[in-house]
Amino acid sequence: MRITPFLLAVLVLGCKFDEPLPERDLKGTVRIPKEALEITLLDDEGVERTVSGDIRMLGPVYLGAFPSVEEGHYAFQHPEMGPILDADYPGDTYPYGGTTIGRFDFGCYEQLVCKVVTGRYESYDDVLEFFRDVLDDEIKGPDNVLVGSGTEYQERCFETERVTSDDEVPFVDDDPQEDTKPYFKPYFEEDGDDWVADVVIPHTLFVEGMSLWGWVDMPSPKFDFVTCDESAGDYFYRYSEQYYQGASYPDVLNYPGLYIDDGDWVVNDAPMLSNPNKDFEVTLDFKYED
Amino acid sequence: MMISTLSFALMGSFFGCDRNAQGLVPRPSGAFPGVIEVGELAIVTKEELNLLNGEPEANPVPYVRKDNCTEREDGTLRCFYGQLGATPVGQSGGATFTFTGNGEEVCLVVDPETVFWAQSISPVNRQDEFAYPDFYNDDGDLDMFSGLSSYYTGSPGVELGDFKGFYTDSLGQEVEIEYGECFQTGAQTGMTDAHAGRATVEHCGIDTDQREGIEYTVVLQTVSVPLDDGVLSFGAVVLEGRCARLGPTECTIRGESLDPISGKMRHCTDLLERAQCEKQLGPFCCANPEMCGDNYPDDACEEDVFDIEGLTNTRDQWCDATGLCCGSSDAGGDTGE
Repeated sequence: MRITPFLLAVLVLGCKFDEPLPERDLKGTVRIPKEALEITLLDDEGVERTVSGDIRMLGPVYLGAFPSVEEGHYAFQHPEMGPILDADYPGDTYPYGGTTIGRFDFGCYEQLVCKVVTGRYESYDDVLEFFRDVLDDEIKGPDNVLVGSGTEYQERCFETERVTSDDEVPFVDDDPQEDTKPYFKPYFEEDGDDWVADVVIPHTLFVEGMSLWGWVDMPSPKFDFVTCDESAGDYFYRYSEQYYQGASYPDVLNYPGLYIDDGDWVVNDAPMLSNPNKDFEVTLDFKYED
Repeated sequence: MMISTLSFALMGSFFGCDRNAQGLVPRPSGAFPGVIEVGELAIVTKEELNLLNGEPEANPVPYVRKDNCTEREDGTLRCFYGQLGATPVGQSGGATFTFTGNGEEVCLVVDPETVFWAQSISPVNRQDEFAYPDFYNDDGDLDMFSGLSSYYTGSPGVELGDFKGFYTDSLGQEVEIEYGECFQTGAQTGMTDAHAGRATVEHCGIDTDQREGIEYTVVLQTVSVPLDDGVLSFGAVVLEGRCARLGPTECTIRGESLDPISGKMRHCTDLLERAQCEKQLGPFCCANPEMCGDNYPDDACEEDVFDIEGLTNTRDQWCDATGLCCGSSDAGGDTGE
């Protein structure tokens, strides 16, 4: 008789099983100096002009966890590499994990393949305005007619992506401050001389003493991004419109040296982690100039 | 009475039923070791392939035949036809051979035990060529791997190995590295570690650029040994050039099914292969049912099965016209086609 309440209590309390998994969610911030957003663009006539301070120019930030970071491989600090197995490739960095702050997304038009990054736009009008006023490259539809309004753009995305709300279109977000903890939206905010974003590197192997290192893929003068493969990703197939939607190369963290080019900003002082529960801060403070 | 019956049933359930599945597992044989080392194979040039082909003008699609599988003047084998036995439970079996890089792309081809096909059982749009089932018990399977000999972890002729190595980073974490270079693509995009199934040819290309004179090892790992004789026969060849251009198929290596006693080509298996290569499996199985499986549908061999180009034929007429009957002078272990 006395046993029954005891068993009931145990059942109500339940059992907790602590799996000692070595993978952890690592939280922290990424800083990019505002100076990084001074970008020289080249128009079709070859005339240069400089755009400053527009966060929409920023490509994806790649952030990885590596055993260590070394000098001597490239003109910037670079993660340690394993053996060279192919004469055409450097050694693999064998990262423990990684993430991006912003990723390439299909902008619903062929013209925008590999040019739209998530976390950079608040609305469809924002995208239209950026390509029209900043890049001087107005967005045109498949019939070569200019996209006239955000509403028209939204309708196009709903139709081609078969969605019914803006929440399902990753590259526009009118509520970047929305609470999505424990993960953070890929948004940068101004903080003094820097742009700062909260970030989580999810489910990463934690090894004491490992280093966090990364870089931001800055656009070329023609607003192209080295880390995006235009012949990859989902295939867009709609009547006579047939093309790939573009995607990041899958091995950017394995072979970063292949993808970092002129104008990219790289972590120069990679923090070493000794406690997975302590927030990290990574600063992309070195501009690589070829 | 009721209690007695229940007791008996209960006792019966305790003992249960069992099945002896020994017949489904080939026994290791002293005559045929489970692990063999073949030696070095030459990289067969286009000219040599024509030589192996026997009658290149009559056979415009090049293939390798056992009876033409000769050695070079220096004693290097141009191709290899051999037999493997089963290994004891828990041990990996197979064959290994080497070749020397020529600085160009080469194509490795291995073909175990005649042919296999899936029976067409669809009630509509049945493919009549495959209406007759394959004879399962004569099929075996080998998986092919290859890489630089310096990375091979096995002991040739003694123990099979692989091409996996380990890299330890500065924090002591171990990462497995695949040094093998024989990648076979699968049906899904990005799948590069695929292997063909029973009795089906496998091939892969290796680029030996900047590795002229460097030795490579090829591992043919036994996946299954035929149940009918417990011996897995196979043929292997290294061809000069890209696999994509050469297009190796089941028809590239012929006559690889060998008799365990005589070591010669098994009776009529060359015709079975030829029938498959010439898309004549349907009439072949009807004319030579002993070469194919059981449980074929009643309508697998209807009257028009031996028709050639719309002309009605009897079995004998079809045999004379095609030479694909086992009783004919073309059939047999020693004869070619």
